[in-house]
Amino acid sequence: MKRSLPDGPPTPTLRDVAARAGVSIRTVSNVVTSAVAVRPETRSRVEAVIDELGYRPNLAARRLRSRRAQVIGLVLPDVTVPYFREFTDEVLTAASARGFAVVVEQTHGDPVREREVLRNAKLRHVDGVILAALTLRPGDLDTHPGRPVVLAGTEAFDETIDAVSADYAAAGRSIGTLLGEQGRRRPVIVTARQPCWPITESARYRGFVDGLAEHGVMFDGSRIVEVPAVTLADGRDAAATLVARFPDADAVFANADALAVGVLAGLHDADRCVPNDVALVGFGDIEYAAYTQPSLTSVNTMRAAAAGAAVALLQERLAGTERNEPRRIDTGFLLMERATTAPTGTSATPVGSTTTAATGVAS
Amino acid sequence: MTDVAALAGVSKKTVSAVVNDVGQVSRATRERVRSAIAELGYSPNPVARGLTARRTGSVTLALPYLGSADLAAIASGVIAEGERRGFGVLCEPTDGAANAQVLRPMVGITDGVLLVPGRATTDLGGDVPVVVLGHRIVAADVDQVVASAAVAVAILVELVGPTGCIIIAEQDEADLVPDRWRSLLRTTGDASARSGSEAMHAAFAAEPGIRGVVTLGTGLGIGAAHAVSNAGLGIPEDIRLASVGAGAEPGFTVPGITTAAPALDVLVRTAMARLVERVAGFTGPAAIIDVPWIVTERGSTAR
Repeated sequence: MKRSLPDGPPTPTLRDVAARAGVSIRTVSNVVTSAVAVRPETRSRVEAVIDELGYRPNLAARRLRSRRAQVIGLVLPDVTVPYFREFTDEVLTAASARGFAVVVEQTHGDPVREREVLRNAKLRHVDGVILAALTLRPGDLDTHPGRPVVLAGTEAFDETIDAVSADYAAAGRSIGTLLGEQGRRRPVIVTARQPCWPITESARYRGFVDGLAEHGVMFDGSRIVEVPAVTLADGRDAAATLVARFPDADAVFANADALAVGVLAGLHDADRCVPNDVALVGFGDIEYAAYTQPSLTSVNTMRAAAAGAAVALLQERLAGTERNEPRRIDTGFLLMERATTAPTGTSATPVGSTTTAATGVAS
Repeated sequence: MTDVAALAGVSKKTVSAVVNDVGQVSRATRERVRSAIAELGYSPNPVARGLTARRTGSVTLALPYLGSADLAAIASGVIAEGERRGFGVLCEPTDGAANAQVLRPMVGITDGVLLVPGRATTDLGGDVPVVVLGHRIVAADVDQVVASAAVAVAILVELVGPTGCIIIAEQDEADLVPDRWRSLLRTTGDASARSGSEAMHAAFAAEPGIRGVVTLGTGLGIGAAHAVSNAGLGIPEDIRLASVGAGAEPGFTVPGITTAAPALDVLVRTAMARLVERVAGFTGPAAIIDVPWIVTERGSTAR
């Protein structure tokens, strides 16, 4: 066996696995890449030997030999949602800078598509995957040897998989704290319906509730308006609903900026003044957030840094230079306070100014 | 092939004979070779076969970047159309640069390219079929499915009213503004809302008589609207505003922004259909297909 370092542990090679399993090198390769069918008994035998020897395929060398450009699969719910569109742009930029092409695959929040992403025929040629998952819980993802996955762009987390994210509980808390500090007592949440992962089970919700509680506001879990999807139109509909169901609402936390922008338009239609009657906070800090009338307070979860970190991590995994344990990278977050949470009693739109309260942890 | 031969206990020549179905090979030997092939998953010359069959199952979407609502609308349409047809869509940001270096290495990775060209697009390479889509026609012998930006700008300038009107566009799209209205043009570095806001502020400072704004891109329009509001002016009372581009955001500003958007379904489906035909080997003459604009009048141009 080849030795990786003097006196270091021996590194099993393709040849070692083939010899031990009693098959050819080509067969082991085919098992690892799943590119070509192998008889089931043979596959099991080879996989058992791979586990036994602790073999890790050297993908970089294989790609160099085949001289094919490296390709990343970016799997996310929907590219038309502004937050994910901007995230995709950042991934494309970061990937392109490192010589990767990117296949974009939409899941539409389907839990089966998220779980089985690595079996997706359209992704069979990609070398690694960045997955922005909405429904995945720890242990859900079906992984198989040979292709690295990085979770990025959402709250989804699994200890066994590399992940790039932010402290969503702290982010939620910063919103609850802001609204509590301003004396908002009757907040309402607007969110897209997600049966596989209801908002009440998310870290940001727990943080939000805690932040409010610190200011004596006990959030009532029934004050949640759910809409079918993250679209501007759904946000507008949500505003109509919340005005009818919760006419006393004095603050809205919309769980995505696209919804917040729609809510803003809907509140205007219902003659509710923002922020004087109703404060509004979004999530994601899309580019548009600073240019709404009034400008939208939101949480920036450092998309550009997350995209860059995810691509870099994939590149390291493919080069085989990363250590074996899964990595968790925290990009930090920023609460961008803008005009939709200006303290009541002031005039609605400050001219061109944006104040930001930085509360984040960079790793 | 050596592995198959070794596993089956025959010579390479015999394996070749079985694969190509020629020569005198006994049934028993043929069976042994076939089962060795199945076990090892051997396929003769897969790369070459990939080239001639051109069945990678993916197409490339080459576009300057994705961050603007307008380009994102095209991209998501292409990705959705790819889903409908069972293709993967490989996204290749070009930054609007000359596209040859993007398009050349595509062989073996994708079957063809849908290209949203930038101002500097010249050489399109020739290794895989290319279909142009978007708002710009290029001087190349390929199918082009285009909603002409010049047409949309002209429509909106007339709608807003040419007197006291300015046009805001990013530098790389300045050439899309029709000659007739070139004198109204103010350029920005990019198509972001921030650039639109800055350009509007600068225009107010330089010219007191502005009465209308047409932007090439909805992001610029949203930024311009923000700047108008910050200047204490009203839309449409003081400044009439309209934008060329796709995306839902102009429908949710207060007031809503009048837009000219390309018929996206037509744009994307037609372009994809042409590409599929070319990949399948269609060799008819290249066509330029005109896609209509859909004008949605909203509060920003109300009278």
